[in-house]
Formats: sequence, structure tokens, C-alpha cells
Amino acid sequence: MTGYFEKVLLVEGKQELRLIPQLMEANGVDWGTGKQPTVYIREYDGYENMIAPDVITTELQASGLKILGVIVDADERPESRWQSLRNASLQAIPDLPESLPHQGLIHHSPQGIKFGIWIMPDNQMQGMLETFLADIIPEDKQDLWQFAQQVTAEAKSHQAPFTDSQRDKANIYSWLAWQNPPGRQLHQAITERILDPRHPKSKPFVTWFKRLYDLDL
Amino acid sequence: MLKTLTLKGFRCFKHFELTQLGRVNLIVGENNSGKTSILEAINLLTTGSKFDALTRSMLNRGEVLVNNESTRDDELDICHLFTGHQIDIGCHFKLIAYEGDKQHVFKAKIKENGSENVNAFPGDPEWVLEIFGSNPQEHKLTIPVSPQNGLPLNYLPRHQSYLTNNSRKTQFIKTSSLTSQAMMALFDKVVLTPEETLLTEALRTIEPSLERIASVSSEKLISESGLSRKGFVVRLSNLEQRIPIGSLGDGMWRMLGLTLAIANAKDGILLVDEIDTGLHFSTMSDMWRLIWDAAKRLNVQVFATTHNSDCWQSLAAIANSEHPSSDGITIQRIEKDKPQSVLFTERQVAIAVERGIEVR
Repeated sequence: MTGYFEKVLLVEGKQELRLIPQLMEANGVDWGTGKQPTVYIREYDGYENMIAPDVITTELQASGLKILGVIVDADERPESRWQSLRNASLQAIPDLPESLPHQGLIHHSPQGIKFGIWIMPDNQMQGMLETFLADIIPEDKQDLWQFAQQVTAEAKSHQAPFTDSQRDKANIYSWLAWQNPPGRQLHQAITERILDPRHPKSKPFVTWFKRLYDLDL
Repeated sequence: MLKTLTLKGFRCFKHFELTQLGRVNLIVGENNSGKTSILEAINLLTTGSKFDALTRSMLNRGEVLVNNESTRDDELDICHLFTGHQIDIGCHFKLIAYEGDKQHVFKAKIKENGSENVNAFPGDPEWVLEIFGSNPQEHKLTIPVSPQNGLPLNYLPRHQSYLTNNSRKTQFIKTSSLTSQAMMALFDKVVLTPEETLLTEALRTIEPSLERIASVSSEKLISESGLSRKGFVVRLSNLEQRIPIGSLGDGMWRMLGLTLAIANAKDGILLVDEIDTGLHFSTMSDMWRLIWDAAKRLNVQVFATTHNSDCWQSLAAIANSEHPSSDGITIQRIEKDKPQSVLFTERQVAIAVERGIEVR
């Protein structure tokens, strides 16, 4: 199904697809309707698919497009992730800046499209979406969070198969398993305020998003 | 194959470029963005009978100053060929197409009626339209401009008198050009040639039981024109009697027209305005596949326009994302007031349809 969208966001997977609208609505953004969302989110089922040749160029040529944003995980090497994302975007935007600002990138392309990049969690560190979410765990749940991290670490000595690079995911899903109701998904945790979408640590991301998509109130 | 097209001062295009053209180029864009004008420009640049081409497209658009006493004295309202719809001394438009290291050019300029023309035109017009093309054998042609700023039809050179050294065929299909007469003329060139199988193959995509098509001429047809679908009969495998092609619907007529045109455009150019007209989305996939195969086999370069979503998506379905070719499929979006088309290369076309990105 193709559609005519002024504001588009590219994300790696379904978690981001479901979570971002909830996060932004909790921060005062009207997300519109299913058919006419404020920002249309397209998930690429993995970073490799997003930076395949010509993909970002094609996205930037979509009819009616005014603003395109990209959110990816830093994973283990944030600097090389920035470089590879920058290289994939250079074909269409040759004047993309060389370094990624800590508050996220917002750039005007030569064709007049606004282009933005955010590398989870904070454009600097290693990590992923779940790293960002760990930072917005409310005060009253911090004790349980510390415990969840301990227990997850201990699970390693019981042959838990998760890798070190996946630790942030293992931690947060363990912690979510003990909430009420248990085992909520990430986006539900936002809607039900198990995570705090208005936590001060969410501000840089929320600000970048609103500035990029002209949603400043 | 034409690789780049430049239009300067022609119709709505002050300065416009289409680049990296491939073998099949689909032109999309909003209404009134100039898609048909681009086909007209390519036609003017490549056809043998330039004034026929010009006259036909202007008549179609109603850009005629009608003389109520005699149709022979009708005039083409040429100001509409120039950006801004106004003409004055010095106004000109220029069309250029690059093909390898060859250039095709068509230039038209309004000039003062100089002394060299004084005896050529009665009534002593103030202005003349000067036309020249890229063929060195051609002289400049000068045509008087009437006091109403029109081009008198009876002063236009007829048929092949302009641009002779060109064996390339350009076929231009609009809905209005699919007359029985035109189709029968094209069919006559194809009948009993190897390309006749292309015809039956194409029609079978709509009616699988079709065995054969033939033309039936009559005296009446030669004098009649209009859009009725006379002149062809088909044989279906499960029927004894032959039936007129009109019994099989509008899409069949369109398909016949398209196939006849491409079969008659060997080593040349096929132009189709609103290629999706009359075709169901399932037929469109077959149509594109046929056009793509025929274009490669007959060395035809195809330019088509569409508004239709199924139309571009079914073309995109045959775009090759793994081994895209620079002589392959392109989609070019025309946006008003932008000096260049938004070009989707073959690979980008494949990505767009896969990811649901709107090219129109």
C-alpha cells in the first residue's frame, strides 16, 4: 500500500514502530489516525535493509515528502554505525555533516527535504532502544530494576543464552516480567506508565523529534 | 536511444531536463504538470512529419483560431507553444535530445518579416515563425504569422517534405489516435510478418481463446473516421463464426492499438499517453511484460504517461533490483516549477514498489 505522506520515519523494527507513537503522544503530540498519522513510520526489519544501496535515496524521492527521519540502534560501535548510515545517505545528500551532534542530527537537503538521524540511545554511547528505555524507569521502580539487572547477570551462570550485546534487552524484559500485569510489551509499558515517557532523560530525544517534525508546541 | 531531453521555453517548461532515460520510461506527475507536452516534444524531435505532428496535437488541444468562412483558412494558435502563452519578436523555444554523441534539435523563433521573405507571403505579415532542426540537409523554414498571431494551416509544409533523412519511426498513441483507419494502416504493415504473432499473443492476454485476428476493409471505412471500432474481426477457438473485435470490449481495442504501434516502431520510438486507459490491473501486468519484451527485441524506446497506481506498480514488478540496467526501466516524476524530473532508476523503482514508497 503506497501513500502520500509529508512526514516519514524509518525504524529498524516493530518495537520502534509501536513505541514511538505512544512515547510522543504521552509528550503532547497528537498522532492523528491510522490512515493519516502525524508521522508515517516504515519499519525495515533490520539495519542492513535500511542502508542497502539506493534505499535512502528512494525514500527521499517519495512524492509529497517534506521530512524524513531515521532512528537506528548504535549497537556495539556507535561511531561506525554513524559512518555507515552517513555513507548510505551521501548519495542523495552530499553535504551531510561529518559528525553527529549529541542532540541528534537535523539537516536540510539540497532538494529542500528536512532530514534527521537519531542513534539510540543518545547519539554517543553503545546500546539500543532498550538502553534508552532503561533510563526512563521511574524512581519508585528503581529498586526492582537494580534487582532485575543482578538476576539477569546471575542467569548467565545458569547457561542463559543471551549475548553480552543483548544484555539491555534481557534486563528490561526481565523487569517487565514482574510488573502488574506481568510481561507487558515495551509500547504497552509506555502507555500504562510502567515506564515514564516524561522522564527528564527522555527529553533530548523528544525534543529532537518535535524539532525535526515541526511539532514544537 | 535518447539519453537526455531538454526543453526550453516550450509550453509550461521554461527550462526542463529529463536525464538517464532508459528503454522504457514512465512519466508521472500531477494533472497539468506537462506530461503530454513531454511526449509531444519527443515526437517533434524524432518524427518525420513534424508539421503533421504539430498540427495534430494543437488541434487535439483546441488551440485553433477558427475561420468561420472556410476551414482551410483555420490557423494554429501558436502562442500556446511558448511558455507564458504570449508571443513577441524574439520569442523562441528549443528542444534538444541527446543520443550518444548525436543531438536532435528543434528550434522555433518569432522573427520580424525580413526583406528576404517579402515576395513569399501575400498580405505582408509583420512576423514570421522560423523553424529549424538538426539535420544538416534541412533549410530553415519560414512561415508567416497572421495578424491574429496564428499560423495559417494552408501555409504549412505537408507530410514528409521536412526532414527526409530519417528512417526512424515514431508512433504516438493517444486515446483519440486509435481510429479504425489508423489501426488498419498499421495492421497492413504487420500482417504476415513475424510481428503478427506479437499481436495474437497480446490479445490472448485478455481473451485466451483468441486464435486469429484479421482486418476487413470496406469502402465506407475509408471515408469515415471517429472512434468506432470497425475493421477487425477475430476468430475464437470455441465459436464457428468470426466476431467483430468491438464485441470484446474497450481494453481489447487499446491492446490492439498498443501492440500495432510497437510493432511499427522498430528501431524507433513509441509514445503512449495515459497507457493505463481501459486496462484492468491484471491486464496491465501482461501489457508491460509484452511491451518490455517487444521493446528489447525490436529495439524500441518507450515513453508513456500515467496517473494510475496499478500501472506504475505493475511496471515496477518487472524492474530488476538485482541486475538493474542503465538501459532499462525508469520512472520520472514531473513537478511544476522544478527544472528537472525526479528520476527513479530501475533499482529505485524496485525498492519503491517493495517498500510502498509513492513515486507519483
